Amino acid sequence: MPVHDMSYRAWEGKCRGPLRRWLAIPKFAFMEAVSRRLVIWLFTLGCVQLLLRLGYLYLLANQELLVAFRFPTDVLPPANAFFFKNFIDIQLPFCFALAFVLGADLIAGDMRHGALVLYVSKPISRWEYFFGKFFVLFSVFMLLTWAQAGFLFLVQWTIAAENTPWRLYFWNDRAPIFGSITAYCLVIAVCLTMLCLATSSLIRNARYFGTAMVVYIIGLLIIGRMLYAELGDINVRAVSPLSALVDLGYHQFDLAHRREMIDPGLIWISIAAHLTLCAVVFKWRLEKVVRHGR
Amino acid sequence: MLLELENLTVRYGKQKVLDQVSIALESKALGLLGPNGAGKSTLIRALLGLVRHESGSARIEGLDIQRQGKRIRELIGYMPEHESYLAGMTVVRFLRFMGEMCGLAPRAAMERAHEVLFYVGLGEVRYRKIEGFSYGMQQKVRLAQTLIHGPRILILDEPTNGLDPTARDEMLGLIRDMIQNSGSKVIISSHLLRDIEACCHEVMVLKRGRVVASGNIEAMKQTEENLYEIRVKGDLDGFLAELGRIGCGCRADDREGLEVTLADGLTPRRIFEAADRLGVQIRHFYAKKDTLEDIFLKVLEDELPAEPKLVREGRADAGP
Repeated sequence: MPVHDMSYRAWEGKCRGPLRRWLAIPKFAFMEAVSRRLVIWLFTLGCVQLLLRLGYLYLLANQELLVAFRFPTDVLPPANAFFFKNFIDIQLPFCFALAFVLGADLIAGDMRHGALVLYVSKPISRWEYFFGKFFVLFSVFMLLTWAQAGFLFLVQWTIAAENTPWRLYFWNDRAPIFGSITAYCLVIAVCLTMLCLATSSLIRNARYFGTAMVVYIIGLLIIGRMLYAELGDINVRAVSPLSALVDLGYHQFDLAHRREMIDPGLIWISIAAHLTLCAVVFKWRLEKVVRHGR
Repeated sequence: MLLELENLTVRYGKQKVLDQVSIALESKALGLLGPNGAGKSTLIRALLGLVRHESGSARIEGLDIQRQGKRIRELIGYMPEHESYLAGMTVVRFLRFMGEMCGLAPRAAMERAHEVLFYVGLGEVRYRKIEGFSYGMQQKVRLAQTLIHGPRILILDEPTNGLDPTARDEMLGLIRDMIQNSGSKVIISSHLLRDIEACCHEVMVLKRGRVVASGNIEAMKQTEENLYEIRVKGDLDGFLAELGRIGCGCRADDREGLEVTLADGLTPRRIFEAADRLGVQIRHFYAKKDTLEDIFLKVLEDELPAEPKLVREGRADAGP
């Protein structure tokens, strides 16, 4: 006599709404990411600069400590727009490193073993799949740049000396910096995420993912520099999205007077072209793989 | 109605993969048959909304594939033909993920993942990573992810492809059990006739993107009403001559076996009367049915008919 009925029983519980279904994609991608030691290490390294800058801000706000150690206080640069832009620029290598590690398998892993068909055969639209994967990288890049720069900005504002008009001045003079931080980080995160998604959808082998990214980024940078050297027009450097991004930072933080810059209109065209190219490649690959099943 | 297709046309570039397919079928277990490249997988992909159709319309359980794709995918569990898994995940985690994507709450998804894995016979290996599995085990994982949210319709694309005989029997056993013990309807695509025959009630045969036959399998088998298998003891040559004289077509397949085709208007009684006249003993008399293989080969040998050959007799829910 059977002690346990092992015949098929259908699930009869309730299913949740579309947002909860979509959340499963980034949730499991994050779970997979944090299970990798390299990701944790890189992310931790990406937080070291934040700690150093926090110490620096503390010293700026407590200059009597420096005076006690007879350290010249006038050599310390203030926490101005350049301070925050420089912080974000230094974070970029960590973003690229995490892009190589996390981005390589994000789409390619699904394509390599035919899992893409499983996603799109579930009640998940292709847009939801795209945004699920997009959200993973985008949020990691924003955590490394915007969240940390924003935290620094907040700390700088809150620890400013009480007995000086510094806090008010800072807020009045520097409030637009937060907008610049947000805009600059958003553009960086979106551009880098789109590049990762497109490259990952195009190249199934993780080894060649990094090579392809480097060839695209550095290749266009070199072409831009060569054209600039040949034609002498700074605007031709806009062919490189990286050059365009760097110059965008200077424009965003109102530091464009520091050196010769690409025209802002061309910067936005360059970024838009980069995003369009990535979107077209991603869509083309997705359609192709879904249609043929692998 | 399980499936309603109306002039459904799907094109890959210049090639028409499905050409004006029109059919309406109600079945608990439908088999999609056809040689490689007939359009079975494309039809499934079109039903799931994975490929866009050029013209026509299709409905599953009354839902339009163009406008209600997401709702359809909520009802459907799809088992792909090829390798489909996420590398680096344990089976139970993979299934939990699939469950959550179907809308199950995390805890419910985990419980259901364990339940389904035990059902398909992978309970003992549920904490192993899928990439270490044999092909047969991976096939079971694909079946398990199909069942995770208890779909009302299961679409299984070549479920026994590449399996050894034991694994194939196990897979067919699971499919038969699902058909019998759940309210789910099953659509199985296969080029293996015995699999379809073992599991399905109705069949739809595709050839070069068109439906060339469809209907209840049992009813289709009974289309050759005048063919009989007979084994006799006695004067075989005389009996053959006598049958020829009354207008029967005969073919001796071995020393005592005959295949007799009755002419129109004759009844089997005439065969017994002829035997009685010659003193021949009839030791076996069987109204021969076509096997699914016979039907399949016959349909594929024919040129494409103008209209699909529909066989609507017999009970729709008659089991194999």
